[in-house]
This record gives sequence, structure tokens and C-alpha cells, in this order.
Amino acid sequence: MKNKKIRDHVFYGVLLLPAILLFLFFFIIPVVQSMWLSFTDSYGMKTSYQFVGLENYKEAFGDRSFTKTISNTIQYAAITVVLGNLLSLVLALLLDAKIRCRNLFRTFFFIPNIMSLLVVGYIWSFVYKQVLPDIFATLNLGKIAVLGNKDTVVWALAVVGIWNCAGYYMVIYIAALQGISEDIVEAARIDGASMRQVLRYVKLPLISPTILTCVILSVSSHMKVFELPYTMTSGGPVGASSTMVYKIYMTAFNANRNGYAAAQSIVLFVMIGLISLVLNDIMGRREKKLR
Amino acid sequence: MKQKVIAVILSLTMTAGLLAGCGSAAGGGEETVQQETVPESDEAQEADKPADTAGGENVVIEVLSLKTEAGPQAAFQEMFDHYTAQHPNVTFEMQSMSSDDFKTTIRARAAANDMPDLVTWMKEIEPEFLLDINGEAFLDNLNADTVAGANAIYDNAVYAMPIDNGYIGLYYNKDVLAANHIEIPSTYSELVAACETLQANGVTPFASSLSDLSVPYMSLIALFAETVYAPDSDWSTKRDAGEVTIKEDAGWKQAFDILTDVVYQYSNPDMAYNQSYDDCAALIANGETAFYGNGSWALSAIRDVNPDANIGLMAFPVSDNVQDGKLLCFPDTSLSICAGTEHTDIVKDFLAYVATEEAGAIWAENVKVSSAVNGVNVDYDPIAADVDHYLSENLFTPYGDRVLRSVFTDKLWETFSYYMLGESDWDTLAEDLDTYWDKARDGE
Repeated sequence: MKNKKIRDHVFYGVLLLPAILLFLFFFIIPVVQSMWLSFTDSYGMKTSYQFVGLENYKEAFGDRSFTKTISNTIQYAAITVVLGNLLSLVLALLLDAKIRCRNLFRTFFFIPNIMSLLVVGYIWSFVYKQVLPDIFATLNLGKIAVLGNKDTVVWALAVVGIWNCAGYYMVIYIAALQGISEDIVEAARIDGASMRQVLRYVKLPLISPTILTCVILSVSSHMKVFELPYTMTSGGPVGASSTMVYKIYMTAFNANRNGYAAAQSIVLFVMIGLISLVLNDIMGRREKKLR
Repeated sequence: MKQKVIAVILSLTMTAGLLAGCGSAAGGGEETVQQETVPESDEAQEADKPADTAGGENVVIEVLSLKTEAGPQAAFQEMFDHYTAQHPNVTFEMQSMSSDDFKTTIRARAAANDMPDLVTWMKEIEPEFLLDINGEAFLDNLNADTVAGANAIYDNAVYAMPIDNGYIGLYYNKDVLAANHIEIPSTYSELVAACETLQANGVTPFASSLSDLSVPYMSLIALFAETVYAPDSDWSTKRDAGEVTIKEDAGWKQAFDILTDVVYQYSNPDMAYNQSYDDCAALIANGETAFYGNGSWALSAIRDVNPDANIGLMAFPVSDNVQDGKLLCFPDTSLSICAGTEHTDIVKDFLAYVATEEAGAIWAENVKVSSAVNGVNVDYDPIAADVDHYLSENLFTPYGDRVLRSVFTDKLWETFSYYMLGESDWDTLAEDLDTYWDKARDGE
């Protein structure tokens, strides 16, 4: 009996080996290499570099252009995560109901997600730079340049981010809503619960693990936004839409400072990790309370 | 049992995927294929051929280019075709990409020890990856100043073979100026007065973009070339030695001020955020604006919109002394041989062909630029006369951002618009730039 257990462990261990190797080669080793690189002055295509200790980290936190990207990224992520998940949830609740053409609507809302963010960026650039000004001009509403205003540019990018991924999270929420037993909903209805109460006290608590998953996924995804500032604003105006990943890319491939870029990416890595841990903790406690 | 079988199959599939992903392209990507027969050629031709083509091998020369425009691509293709006609066993594979993609690709290939044979030069490519062609006879066919300018950042080595001369200056639409009864301005005061008149007549003086910051950035390069490097070509050396600073240099401030007070203020700031590089070319081409600051590469974009646009080119007037207006003329496209190429002789032989008058003319005609090859005088555009005027009168400066380190130019690129848009004062901007100048210098 004991031998069989050991054999099973070895068998499944061997089966897991390819996945572990993949994870090792394509995640663990690059992360360790990046960490090492962040303590060096690695530059461009130069093959030799020096260990510089914490210099790159010191520079990162003293570099206004980088700290500004942290606040820009947090602002963008906060808008897209909160509004994006709310919109996805509302869409999921609407399309979970028995309405006509709901599959058509589901497909319709999911389509933006199958497009590359680069393509989405170019499409929305056209909308913001051509279509919207033309509409404003036709309606005699004056000139508009949403991407050129530092107060509106992050919101403009956030709208695109939400448009792109609302359908994706909607599908996850629909799956979670469909996983709720009809019996529970029916029991609540028999007990006199209104639709609103069913939603507030039955459905939302039951899908709270899914909400947590979606929030964490969207935080990590939106914190890493790169394509939108790259295609739509080049980080402008005056750096107002420069996000962390865009800045990391510019540092690595424009300024050629690999070491400094690696330090910036480690800061981003730690930030996403910390936010995810905090969210996990908050939502976990809330979930426990609701249960 | 069934579950175990599925698990094994999935695991094997993943392993196969992993192995396929790790596979080297060396096998399938062989560039040299042995040919069974030697192509027919007479003895004299055989003797002239480089060592590794004389053997009769079919050779593929891989070229990586950052010239994505139609003109340069057509020129390259024509030169490849001519060379292949003479050397039937040599063919070329060219990949063209944007400069951002080029940088990423070249770094990845350098890391994988898989460099192409020939590349369009970029200062970001470290010399250790390039072949020094100093002393090669074909360099004598090129303008010596252009070769020296293209290799200004190297000590006594020639890694870049320039094939043309570019410029950055101020395009002006003659018809717009004439329609508004304005003489072509030759001084700063005249330029400002012209802008005022145009604005009063309801014409936007400058075409500019804020969604594509490369547009105003090009004007800035031309301006600091005139206000900083034209009066003192050793400015960078002095700055490296700490004898001067950007913050205290009147020339740097003047360049930023002209960019702000003229190029930006006399554009249409509200619309500039919705305008692209192509839109700006269209504005000057169609006579919707009078002035447009940009480089030689913008000419084809302007001509694409309106081949008959009545335009001219001048140096930015930076003072009331006409002689201070110096056009920024510099070696633009250059070719470099990668150090690790297995076909050194063939690639050198190809460069020797590129340095001939025939190839020089092909390049100049297609790209609409002045050739770096001696004896090639292609009348590529009416604007060529304007450029020639500055060159023949020695009213040009060769030092633009090409001679600046990329750590510094990255900061310059990132922050120049802050001052232009009033988000930063001069002291803050200049201190930042000085910090990054030092960082760039110390990094080397």
C-alpha cells in the first residue's frame, strides 16, 4: 500500500516536471536574472557591467518621471478595476436574465476582448483624434483634444481599457452566476426576498470568490498596461499618461539602461504582489464574514 | 487508468512543446547552401570576386534595416538586384522595421549571438558588434567629411559607412507666404513678424503635432544645433569636462525658447494634440500652414500629399544676424557590417558597390536625398538647391542629436515638452538635463 503511494507520488511528480521546468525557465530564472540586473549598471548591448548595489533603486525613487508613472498607473488601474468590474458585473447580471438575443449580446460585448490592445489603441486614437473632434465641431461644441489634456488623458485611456476587457470579466461573472443553484434563489424568493435583496444577500455573497479573482486579475492586468500609452499618447502630454511599463520600456530600449529598467520592473513586480496580497486578505475576510 | 493515460499524454505534449520552443534555428536557418556547380564566369570576373563568392556557394546576406519608408526600401531592392545580377550566387534578405523594433531586435539577436550580416547603423549598437572598415579603399569614393561625421563618436575607427546626407530645417510654403504678401524671412524678427501677419490673416503659421512629439523634437534638434553646436563644435567636450553646463548656457535656453515661443505658440495648440506626423506634412503640402520644422525624411511625406507643393527649405532663423542661420546637415543613413558575419568579403564587396556612383544615384533618386558618394549630383527635388546653398556657403552644422549619448537624449525627449507646455521652468529642466548628461558620461 505504502509502495503504491510512493509510486503514485513519483508518477505525478514526473508528470508535473515539464510544467515545473517551464515555470522555472520562463518565470523563475528571468525574475532572478532581472533582480540581479537591477543591481548592475548594465547598459544597452554592452556585454560587461558593474555591480552598483542599490543605486538604481535610489535613483528610481528620486526620479520624478518614474514616481509620476507610479501615480499614473495607480490612477489608471483604480479607474479600470473599479468601473470595469462594476460594468462587467452589471452586464453579467443583465445577460444572465432570460432576455431575448442574450447570446448575441454576450458575443457583442466579448468581441473587443479578442482584439489586441495595440489594435484597440489605434482604433481609439482615431476615435479620440478624428471622430470626437468632428462630432464636437458639427454640434458647435468647440474644440476637443481628450488625449492632449493632462486632466482627461488617463480617463480617456481607462475608457479604452474598460471597453477592451469588460466582456472578458462579464463572461467569468456569468459563469459564476450560472453556478448559483436555482433552489437557493427560489427559497429566498419564497421567503419574500425582493430581486434587489436576492442580489444583495444571495447572489453577490455567493459569487464573492469570483469577484475577488476578477479584481486581482484585473489589477495585475491593468497595472501592466503598456499598449495604450504606447499607441495613443506616447506617455504625454507632459508625462500625464506615462505608465510604469511604458516607462520601463523607454528606459530599457530608448535610454538603453537595462539595469535601471530592471530595478523599475522589480518595483512594479513588488507593487502588484503587495496589492494582490492586500486584496486577497480584504476580500478573504469579507467572504468569511458573508458566509 | 484512463485519467493516468490522459495525464501522460498531456505531459508528453507539454514536453514536446517545451523542446520545440527551445530548439535552435541553426538547422533550418542555414544561410549558406552548397551549390553543386560553379556559375559560369570568365577568369577576369572570377579574379575580381570576393573570396567567398568565387567558390560558387550560394550566399544569402541578411540585412536588417530601420528604413521603413517606400523610397529607401525601393533603393535597397534596386541595389540588391544590380549586385545579384553581377554575382548570381549572392542574394539578399532584408527586414525593415521601426527604430524601436530595430533596437529590440538587434539586442535580442546580439544576446543570441545571431547577428545579421549587414545593418543600417544606429549609435546604440556597441562597436564590439561591428566591423571596423577603416582603411577600406571604397571609403575613398565617399565624401571624407561625411565619413568623419558619421563616425564622430568613435576613436579612429570607421564602423558606419554613410550613404546619404540628411538635414533638419524649416520647410516653408512659398505660395502661402506670397498670398499673404510676406517675404521669405531670413532673421528671427522677420520670422516672428511673418507669423504675426499670418495669424492676423487667419492662417496658422506652423504645422506641429503634440500627439507625435517627434515633430517638435526635430525642430528642437535643429535649433540647439544652431544655437549651441554651430558656435562651438566642442561644446560636448567642454560639457564632459565640466567647463560649461546646460543650465548656464544661453544657447540651450535660446533653442528651447524659440521652440516654445515660435514653433509651439504659432502652431494651433488646440489641434496639435489631434494631429499626426502625416497630418503636419499634409498641412504644409496643401498650403494650410506656412512653416514646418522637420528633416529630410519628411520631404517624401510632403511630396506624397502634393508632388507640386511649392516649398522651400531654410535654417531656422535664430537671431537677427542672417549668418547665424546654419542648416543642420549630417550623415543620415549609414551601413555597418556586423562583426560576426561569415561573409565579410562579400559584404565588403557589396559596400564597395554601394559606394559607386551608380548605387549612389539609385539611392539619391529613390530616397530624395543628397548622396554621400563623390560625383553623384542627383537633382532629386527643387529643395536640393536650398540645401546646396547652405552647403556651398558653409552655412551648416553637422552636430545634432546623433553625437549625443542616448541616456541624455532619452531624458531630453522625455522632458523637452514640459518646458514647451509650461509645465516646467528652465532651471528645473536644465538641472534635470545636466544630471542626465553626467549620468550618460559616467555610464560610459
